Amino acid sequence: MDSMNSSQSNPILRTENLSVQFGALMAVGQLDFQIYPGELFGLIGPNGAGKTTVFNAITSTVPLSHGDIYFKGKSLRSLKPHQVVTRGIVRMFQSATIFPKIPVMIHIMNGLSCRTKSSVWNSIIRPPSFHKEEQTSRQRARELIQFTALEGFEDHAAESLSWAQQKRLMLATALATEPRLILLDEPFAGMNADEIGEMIALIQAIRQDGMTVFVIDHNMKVMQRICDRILVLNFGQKLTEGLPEEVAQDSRVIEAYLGGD
Amino acid sequence: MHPRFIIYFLIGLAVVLVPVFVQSNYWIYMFTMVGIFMVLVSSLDLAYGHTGLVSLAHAAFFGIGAYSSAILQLKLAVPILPALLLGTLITAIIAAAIGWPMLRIRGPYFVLGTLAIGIAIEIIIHNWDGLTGGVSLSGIPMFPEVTIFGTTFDLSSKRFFYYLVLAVLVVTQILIRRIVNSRTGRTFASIRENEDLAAALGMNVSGYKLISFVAASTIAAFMGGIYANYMGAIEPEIAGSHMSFNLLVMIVVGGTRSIAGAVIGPLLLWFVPEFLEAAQMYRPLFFGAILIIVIIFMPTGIAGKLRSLHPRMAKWIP
Repeated sequence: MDSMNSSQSNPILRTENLSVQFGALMAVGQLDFQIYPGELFGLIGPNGAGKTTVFNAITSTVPLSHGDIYFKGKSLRSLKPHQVVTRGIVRMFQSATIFPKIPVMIHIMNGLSCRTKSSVWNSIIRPPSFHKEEQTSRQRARELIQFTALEGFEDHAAESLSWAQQKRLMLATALATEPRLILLDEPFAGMNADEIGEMIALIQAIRQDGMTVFVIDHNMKVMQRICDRILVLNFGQKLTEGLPEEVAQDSRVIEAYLGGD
Repeated sequence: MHPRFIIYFLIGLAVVLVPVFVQSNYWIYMFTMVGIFMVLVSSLDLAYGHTGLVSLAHAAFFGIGAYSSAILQLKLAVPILPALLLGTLITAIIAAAIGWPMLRIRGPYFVLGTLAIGIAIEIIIHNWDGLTGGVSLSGIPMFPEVTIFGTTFDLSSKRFFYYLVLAVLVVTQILIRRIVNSRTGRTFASIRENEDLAAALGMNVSGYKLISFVAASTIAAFMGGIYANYMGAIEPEIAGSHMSFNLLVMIVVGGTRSIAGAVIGPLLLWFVPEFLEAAQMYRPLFFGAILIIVIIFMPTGIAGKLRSLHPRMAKWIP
């Protein structure tokens, strides 16, 4: 997405003075940025820069000390984590955070649960709508299994999958929530070159479906390759923001990553 | 038909025919009590095994159900069936009121909180003499005789209660299986496996924990109401934390998330020690020894261990 398109549409996500403080430590301070619909937006920074805290704040996992976050123009401030997902934001964690004992098919169906309606009474009485919803959920889970190349593992416990497969499983489960904005926290961590290639292909496919992607990663080369714009965070403050090639050549970014003399 | 189902059918038939072949009321009582424990263990398993809520207050809800139903019958002359249903409803409301704040705390704090509730309920029942009868509430009416098409059925008989408890056990198992194999059950499992991830995927964790806790307590309360009418007299100890602890040990020993586990636990830890009457004084020792052996050698319980022996065994152990 070029900057002209960005300026023409309303941001899907906007932060205003986003600040998160833990005691005396200002983890993220007065951060302003916007992400536009369909954009692939990157957040980079050295370890401890506050990147994951930004995701925690967006998903209401940590409370905001100051400022606000707006998704499709509405504040997320008073929402609980599960309500943020219902609004259309989902997150993939830094490590392969999974439900270890749950089989792959059910794992993905769990992601669908915030979009389905069957109550506890329906599960006991089992009216036709219950069976229809279960059938639809299974069908959607099968599609996501196919999309993330996990065919043949439907009945395998999540913990039995390889690291890269677990990451793909989490991506499939996150997609099952039908998000409009997906937050990917270091999706390439611990992967070899082939696996990174597969993950990039998946992210690009998601984006082609019209989803907005917000990604954190350390791998500058990969981020330059896939992101439309990149924001650089250092000590919880915005260092710079711009096109990948501009950011890569910014002396402050080079200094933050490599250290100054 | 698969041999597995033939075996299940034969076991089911044997269970149904027990009162026909067993003449001793003592043995019928023993089997009925095992059935009551199976219902309690199964309902606790919904909260503990399926949702990961280690509750030491489960017996408290069994006790509240028993006392509510009995008090309604004794003090307000409410007929048995409405009293049973009202007592269950009252307990469900109390469980929801206790569960709402309690379920916001996690792990060992939740366990300690439920332990405190168990102790408190037992003390309240014990000391509220005017309402609960103090050390014992007696004179709870038996089920009346009923005449259908000229045939009179004695519903106060031990045999009737055996079948009543068996029916409650079967219905409980069906209810739990249906809940577990649905969106609700999948959400319970997600909460058990990773509460934070469940919330991050849009699941209302505290809401579903409450559903699990109240559903488990409601089943226990219903069983408590029947128990009160069965025994005719009840004591505060049935609601105590010691009773809850025993139920929890029965699940751990029998195996969680398993019908077989809900059968093995009460059989091994209630029926066998009762059978070995001479060894009554060694009962806590027997309890402790079994628990230690299971925790060390069978962390998934006896049913879990049997399932893990061979993939075919996993299909045979429900």
